[in-house]
Order: sequence, then C-alpha cells, then structure tokens
Amino acid sequence: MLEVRNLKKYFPIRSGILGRVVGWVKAVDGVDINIEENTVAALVGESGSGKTTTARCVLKLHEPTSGKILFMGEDITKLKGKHLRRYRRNVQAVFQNPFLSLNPRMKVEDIVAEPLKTHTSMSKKEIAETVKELLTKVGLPKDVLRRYPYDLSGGQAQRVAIARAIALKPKLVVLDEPTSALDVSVQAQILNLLADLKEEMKLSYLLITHDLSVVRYISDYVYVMYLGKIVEAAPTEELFTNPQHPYAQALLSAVPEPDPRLRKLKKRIILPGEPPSAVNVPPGCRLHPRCPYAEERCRREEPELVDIGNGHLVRCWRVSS
Amino acid sequence: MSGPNGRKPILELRNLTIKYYTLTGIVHAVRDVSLVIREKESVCLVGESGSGKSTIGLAVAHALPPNARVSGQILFRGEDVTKLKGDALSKYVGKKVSIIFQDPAATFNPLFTIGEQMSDVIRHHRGVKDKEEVKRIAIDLLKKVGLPDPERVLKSYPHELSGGMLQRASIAVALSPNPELLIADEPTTMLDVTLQAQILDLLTKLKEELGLSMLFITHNLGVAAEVCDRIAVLYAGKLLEEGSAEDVLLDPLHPYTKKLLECVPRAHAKVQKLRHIPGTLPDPRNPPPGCPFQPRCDEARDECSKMPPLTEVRSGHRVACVKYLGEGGE
Amino acid sequence: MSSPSELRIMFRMIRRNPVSMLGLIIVVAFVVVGLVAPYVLTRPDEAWGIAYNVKDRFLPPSLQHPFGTDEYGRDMFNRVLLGTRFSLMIAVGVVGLALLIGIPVGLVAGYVGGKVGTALMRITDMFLAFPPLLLAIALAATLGRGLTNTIVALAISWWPWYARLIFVQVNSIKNLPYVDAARVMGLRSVTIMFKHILPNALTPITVQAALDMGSAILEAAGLSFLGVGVPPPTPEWGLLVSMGWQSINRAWWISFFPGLAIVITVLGFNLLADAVREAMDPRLRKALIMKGV
Repeated sequence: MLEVRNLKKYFPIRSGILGRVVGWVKAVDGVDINIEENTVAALVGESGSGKTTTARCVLKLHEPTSGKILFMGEDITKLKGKHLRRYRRNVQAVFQNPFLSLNPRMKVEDIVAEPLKTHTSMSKKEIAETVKELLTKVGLPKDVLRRYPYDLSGGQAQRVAIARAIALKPKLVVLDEPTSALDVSVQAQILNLLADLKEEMKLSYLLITHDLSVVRYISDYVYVMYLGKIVEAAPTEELFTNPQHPYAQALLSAVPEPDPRLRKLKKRIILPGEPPSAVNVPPGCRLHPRCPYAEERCRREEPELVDIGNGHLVRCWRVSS
Repeated sequence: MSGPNGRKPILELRNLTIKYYTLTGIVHAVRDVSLVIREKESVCLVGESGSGKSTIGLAVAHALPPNARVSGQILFRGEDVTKLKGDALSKYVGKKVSIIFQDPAATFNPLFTIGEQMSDVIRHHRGVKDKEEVKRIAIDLLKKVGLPDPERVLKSYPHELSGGMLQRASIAVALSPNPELLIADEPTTMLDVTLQAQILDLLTKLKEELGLSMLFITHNLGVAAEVCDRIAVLYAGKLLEEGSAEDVLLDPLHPYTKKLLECVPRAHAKVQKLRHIPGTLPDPRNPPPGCPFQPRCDEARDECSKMPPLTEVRSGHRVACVKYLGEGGE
Repeated sequence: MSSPSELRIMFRMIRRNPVSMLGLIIVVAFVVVGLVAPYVLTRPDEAWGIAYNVKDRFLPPSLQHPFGTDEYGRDMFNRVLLGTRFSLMIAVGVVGLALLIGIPVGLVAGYVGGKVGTALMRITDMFLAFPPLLLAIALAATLGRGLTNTIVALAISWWPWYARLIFVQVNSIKNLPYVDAARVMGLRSVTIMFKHILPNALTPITVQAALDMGSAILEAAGLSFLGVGVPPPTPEWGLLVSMGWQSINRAWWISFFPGLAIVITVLGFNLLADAVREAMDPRLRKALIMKGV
C-alpha cells in the first residue's frame, strides 16, 4: 500500500552572509520501506537515525531530496490539487506531545471537527454527530467537547489527537512516539486503544519510536535505522528473538528489563561512544567505529541489505558472508 | 539500627510531608513518607508524575523552591537537615549530598568551562588550594566517568559537549566534593537508550568503587531494576511498597505495583495483551482521603478509605495496603 | 503560550501585589474617565477652548477651579478632564494602527520566510534603526499638526516593533506540532496562518500593546509639547503643559496639573506592565503553578 523507494533527504548547511552551502546533513540516505494494508510497521532508532525525517517525508512535511514514495501506486511527491487532498484524507498522523499537537486555543469539538469540515461537505449537524461518535470510539466522555486541551490529562489529550487522526477513516496513520510523553499507567491504555482501532478500522500504522518494548507489543514488522540507513529489518518476533546486526543487538540489550530473571538471560552488548553526526558519515559501514566486530572490509566498503530468509534483511558483512 | 547486612543507615526520612503553596492551591507533593537508606545502598524511588519522587530528592539535597513547606524529618547520619542553618548547612549542602539532574545542561552555567565549574566545587568543598592539585583531582574524576581526553573536556564549554558527555561530566561534578550520598533525578530519561545503558553501567560501577549510597529517582521500572538494591514505590505522594529490587519486582505485594508491572510493555518477552490501569492519577491539590490508589484499584474495600500504615510482610519487604494488615510486625 | 487560565493567574498575582493593584486602578480609571469625559464636563465650552473668560485669568486652584485657570481664563480642571479623552484616543489610535500595519508584515514574513521574509524584516529593521521619537517628530513635522496626523506619525514609528514581535512568535509557532498537524490535515497555507498561527501569536502581543498605550500617551504629549503634535485649542495634555510653560513663574498650576496627569497615567501603565511581565516570567510561573512533581 505504501512503498518508500531509496528515499534520501539531505539538509543543506549554510554559512556566510550569502548563505553558501558548505555541507549536507544526510538525515535519510537511501531507505526502502513497505507497508501493507492493516499492518503495523515500526521504524526504530535513536536520535540522528533519520526515522523522524523519513516519517515527515511520508507525511509530505518535507520534500525528499531523491527517491520515490508510492501510495497505492501513485508517486506522492508529484501530487497536486484533488489528488493531494485524497492523499491527505488517507494518511494522517498522531504526534508525541498532545499538548503541542493540539491548538491550545481550540475546543476539543472544533479540533476533531476540523478534518471533517475541511474534506467533507457534511452539514453542521452531521459533523457534530460524527464528532460525538469519534469521542466515544476513543473512550472519551462527551463532556470533554467544550473543553480546551490544557484542561485535559495527557492521556485524554492524546485520545483527542487520535480521534482527529481517524476522523476521515484514513488508510495509514503515522504514529510519532505516541506514548513517550505519557505516564506509564496511561501508556498501556493508549497502546490498547491503538491496537483495537487498528483491528476495527483496518488501519495501517507507521510507528516511529525509540522504545523497543512498544514496538514488540504492537508492530508486525520492524525496520532498525542507524545514521540514515536501515541496518536490519524483520518481522517483529524474528527481530527480537534473533537480531543479527550488532547495532540491533546492542539496542535490544540496552533496554532495561524489570524482571530480574529475564535480565540475567540478557546478553550485554554495550557500544562505546556515541553516534557521529549525520554530517560526517564514516566511510564503509556506518557502525564500524563503534562495532566490536569491525574488520578491514567494514572500514572500506558499505554493506548492502541482504535477505537472509523469512523476510529478514541485514546490512552487515559479518552476516552476509 | 543496623539493617540486614549490618550496614548503618545514612539517610532516614521520618514522616516527611512536603507541600507547595501555589496560586492555584496547595499541592500535596509528599505525604507522610518514611524511608531508610543505608551505607553503600542504592534505593530507587519509583513513581509516575505527581508521585512526589523528585520532590523528595530535591528536599534531601536542600534544593526545594521557596514556596515549599517541609514537615517531618530528614535525618542525615542522625542530624535533621531540615533544621540546619549557617555553617552546618553549608557543610551539608553540595558536599555530603550531591545531585544529578535529568537535563545535564541544568547543572552547568553556560558561561563557564567545565574545568572552571569543577574547580569551584573542588576548592570550595574539599578545601584544596593548590591549582595543580585541583586540576589533578578534576582530571581523575573525568577519567572515572569514562570521558576520553579529560584535558579537552576541562577546557570546553557545556554547549560544546554532546548530551551523553555532558551527563558524564555532570556526574563528575557531582562526585567532586566526595559526597556520601548521590541523588540522581531521572538522569537518563533524556538520553538515547544505548547511552542510557552506558550511564547506568557507569553509575553501578561508581557505586561499587566509591562505596556511595544512591537515591535514584525514575519512572521506569526497568531502569530501577538495573541500578538499585532496593525499590520504593510512590503514588500520589504516598509510599505504597518498599523492599529489595528482587522482592518488589518478582513478588509485588501492593495492587498498584502489580498492575504497574503488568501494564509495562516488554522488549525481552512477548506480551499478548497488555493490562492497563483504568482512570487517571489523582489531582495533587485535592488528594482523596485514605489510600490514593483506591479509585483505580480493583481490590478496593471500604477499609481503604483510611490509609493503612506500612507493614513488614516479609523480612525487608514493607507494604501499605489493607490486604496485609495484621500479617506482619512493626 | 498564554491561555485563559493563565490570565486568571495573572489577575491573582496583580491583586496580591499592592503596587500593581495601584497600576491597575490607575489604568482602569484612565479608561473610564477618557470614555465619559465629554459628557461630564461642567464647563464644556471652556474645556473645548471655545469660550474665554478674560476676567478669570490666572486664578490659582480653588474650590470653584480645582486646577486653577489658564491665561484665557479657562478652567483647567475641565481641560485636563477632556484631555483624558484625547489621550485615550491617541493611545488606542496609535497602538491600533501600528498593530494593523505591523501584524500582517510580521505574520507574512514569519510564515513565508525565505527571501520574502528576509526582505520584509530588513525593511522593518531600517525603521527600527531610527531613534523612534526622532522619526515621529520628523514625520509629524512633515505631516503637519493635527490629531490624526499625530496618531499616524506615531503609528508609523511604532509598527516595526510589533512586526518584529509577531515575526519572532510566528517563527517559533510554525514549527510546533499543531501546525504540522494542520498541514498534514491538508489545510491551505492562508488558513493555517490565520486560524492556527495568528491567534496563538497574538496573545503576548496584545498584552504588550495594551501596556504600550502608556508610552504612546507620553510620546504624543512630547510631540504636542514641541509644537508638532496636536494644535490648540485641543486640550491635549502635552499641549497644555507647553502652553502653560511661558507663565510657569506666575501660574505654576497651568503646566503642573496636565503634567501630573501625564505622569500618573504613564506610571499606572508602567506599574501594570511590570506586574504583567513578572506574571509571564516562566520560572516564577512554574514555581507557582506546579502541577505536582
């Protein structure tokens, strides 16, 4: 349904009075993603991995530097007018902090009604009815209609954001760290809500997060990104039980585990140092300065994504040879 | 009194109650919390927002804002630090107890280099006068926190260092006065997960090496498990459960702790269906009487409207819940 | 970002502080008097400068003439009272017109950005480079005396500040998630600018503008005092001060009371402005609003 092909997004670095371009931040450097109907694909990575930029390209908040994004076979970068409107109806988003993603001067009822007013020719009455239904669907009581976002709790505000995103019955919803800003006891509520809505409305999600535990709970397929490239991709359980790329392994082992018994089983791989900036991308394999298994070949040549079966792709010389 | 392994208590909170006076009402941040931290022990305060965990940390470090009112006692090696003034106070604040914050940039003044700020602390709190000696101590500390090229770090300004390096540097600053107790207020929440693992590892190592006691504040049970010997679970200002990390995580007694563990998604195990806790956290300006978890608890009874005291159900494992009244001693 | 609840908190802070309460009272009194003045004059002809009372010239303050009379025998109390109306008109006029010019400029410059934005802001900067009062004086002198001309001259020297303020606000707001959400929803740029960005950008500005009225009054008085503002016989405070200047030795009250009116009014606005600024200080607010830690 949604296909991202060799997406690249470079941001120019300007300097001097005339703003000459002196370098490029290679935020996304050749990414391929495939999302089918009614599935959840997760983009995982740390800061600087390029996952957020990729999502923003899918949402057409950025213009790609090169590459294609196809929705139902159509290249969205060339969309205009009526076709663009159709894309907007079908692809929506829920952002991390609901207090920042909801206009603080708008009432809840107006926030949720806005997409309906913009894209449909429904009457005022019909819209009001639909808004009430949507609120019920996301588990909010009717008395929040007249309230402003700052009157709500974090969980309630995020539900409003979800209601707004599903108002037009989209095919794909981009979830950008949907639970990171919420309290622990509320995160589960929202995750369950998202899972239920997915089934009920046959939605697809593109989940952007750094939290691997959320990924394991609701995703079907996972893409692990490092410094602008996908280094490993696999169906969820496959990735979590059998990670191949050293970065994916390190990422997984770094997640703190509350259960002491499981903790003892966890293999501890700590990557030294920090990821370099996307301006000075290391030659060869991007992880080689930090990788415990780095060899000569890793320093010279950048490996390709190799399919090792089961829909499992890895970009690593150690694995592909 | 000594604990199970004969260690003396270093910090004791007795009936600690802290209120903030604000324009929109009185916020009851901490309500009647009693807790003991022993030497070389790391205790985790775990809770969500409004639990009071950060407030307690700030109170122990004597860093509360002016609109806070503290009642009860905070005993550091037997001395009530809430009553300290003048000379005695300056010997305590920033010297015996040190604090690391969530945002390392909050620790540093952007106008001075790391070296200048560290030498201030070392000179002031360790009384070292000789410049060379001060520099030697600073470099030693920076090496201890795993910073390569300490000389360069000393000369750098805070904005020149990355987040991870800055957090390490702030740990070095916190260790400069040779404190006995280190308070860490969500020190890894703003960091990427691999960096978080590095910092947690570092803190565990330092704890062993330097024999520090730690008061670690976090909302993440996994982080608590990685770093702490004991865990104290706070909810809406009250202490609900306290025990060794293993006891609390493997055998949670309080319904809230149990529910909390059930509603956290896991990366290292497949969870079929996540349970969630219905309802929302109570308003800290209007806390309900009795057990604060009662409105959301599915085991609630009438007796819950009166807050039960902490009962020691098993050795070293205390819980404040009507389910266990009459089971233990103390 | 302001919200109605924060306005409530601001009022509470002001109520607590007696000094800021004083400012609030003065400002409210100023507005009320300015609105009703023309209708409560006891000697309207004298106030408007139409009547003269040669036999009552230079009378010192008394029960009949609380502020004394001027060189034409006109009752100063009535003149100062009516002057309030003019000061109010000037205050609202100047700030209003400046906002009318400055907001669109800043809004477009901030949202569109790029070359257009830079160009607009450079023009704004050029205006800002002039010492404001000098610019106003030059403009007023060119345009000639008169109430409208004074307002226009001051507004022209004033609008760049608001353009700059809005520009900064818009620049930070346009990167907020709710603007992203609006774009993802497919709203047109114009809709986003006016429905989502502008209302949120205005809040800090409106408070600032309301308080700027004090400065507008002062500057207008200055212009009139120098003879390039409002012409006689309009009883504008600055003009009254300047007209009483020649007789300052024998009749101090002619300049004194209008001058006092200026001082008190501007002081009121400044006290209120300080209180509002304190209330909007994020650190103070955080400590006071803490929703629990």
